[in-house]
Amino acid sequence: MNLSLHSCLSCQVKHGSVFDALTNDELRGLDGHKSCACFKKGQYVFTEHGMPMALYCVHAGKIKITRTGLDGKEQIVRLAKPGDILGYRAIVSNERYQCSAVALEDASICIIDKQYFFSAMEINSKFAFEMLKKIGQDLRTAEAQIVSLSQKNIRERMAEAILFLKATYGFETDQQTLNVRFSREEIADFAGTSTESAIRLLSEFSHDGLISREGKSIKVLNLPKLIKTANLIE
Amino acid sequence: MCNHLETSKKFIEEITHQAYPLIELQFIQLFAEENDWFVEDLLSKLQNEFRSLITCEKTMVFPSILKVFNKEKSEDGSAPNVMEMMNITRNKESKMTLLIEELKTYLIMNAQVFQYNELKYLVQLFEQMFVPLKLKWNKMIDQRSESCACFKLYTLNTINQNQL
Repeated sequence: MNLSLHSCLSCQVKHGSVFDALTNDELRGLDGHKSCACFKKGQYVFTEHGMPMALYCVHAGKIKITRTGLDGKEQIVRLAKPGDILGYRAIVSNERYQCSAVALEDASICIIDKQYFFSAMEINSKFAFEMLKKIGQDLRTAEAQIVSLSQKNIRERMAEAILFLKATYGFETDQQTLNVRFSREEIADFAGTSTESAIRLLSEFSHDGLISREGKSIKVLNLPKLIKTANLIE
Repeated sequence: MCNHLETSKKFIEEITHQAYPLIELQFIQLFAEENDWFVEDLLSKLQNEFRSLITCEKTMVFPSILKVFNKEKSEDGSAPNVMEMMNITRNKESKMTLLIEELKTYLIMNAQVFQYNELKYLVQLFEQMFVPLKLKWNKMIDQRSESCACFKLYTLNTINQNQL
């Protein structure tokens, strides 16, 4: 980690960031309450479960924000680019970091004293409002991810249900049409979802070229893709 | 008729008449309580996965296994692909285990705040009853598939059918 200082007043990446809301005097004050560091590719900016000591602002380079999943694998939560701030959620909520930040390429980052960050929010309501806006945007993204994840689960179960039908009843002589007819209500039960969701999913699967439907009969058009959608563990 | 038919019937009865109703009842108990959104979301995912497993097993997996031990075939001579079914079942079980792990993490992190007795009991039911029972069942099917003539014959038939 190499140190060099960028002046906030002349910083080009602050435009469009939360720091755009600070006055020139406050930006000069910020210069006195920060340090700048260079991180090599792969180097950690902060780590999961660490205590938050400062706010980070990306000056150059890309950073990945990761979290360790239940299976121990690293999951990328989001990516940060120049002008983006990191670690603010842990500072604001006074909790340990829930994620790690790792440089995806050589990066330069400003490290801002957390007390200065808090006092800037107290003094400058516009800055505080920008921070609220940022947290609100994060919440919206997180909510969208939750919805998308739950949709993914239903898709997986629907694909599994069709594979179950295939394993149990097999195909007709064309080696594509399932050798069984079930109502959409029954298929919904197999997939553990509502009939409405089952109808929508079957339409989605048809649209994606996984299956085609004619009345109650289901033709599997793309078996490998269906297996992939079911997320079957080999 | 294979002599493993009775063992399988007993297993299936234990799973469908004891384990599943107890877990279903516990879900009802839990949903009657006020849970925070995170727990509610996990529970709902787990319940959907669980119900899907029950329906698939009761309708397809268990009758197919009994057919194998009973040396039955459908009218058109086709045989169910039991090993493929078991693979999908295990996939479902793995997903449920991951959800249980998430619930456990939640319980550990919030242990000092609330009691969560009903939630703890659900986790216990899965860990101490469902998982060991399914492990025994899966092991039995694996062993039969390797040594039982019925299974070998069925697997051979399925492979032949798939090659047609």
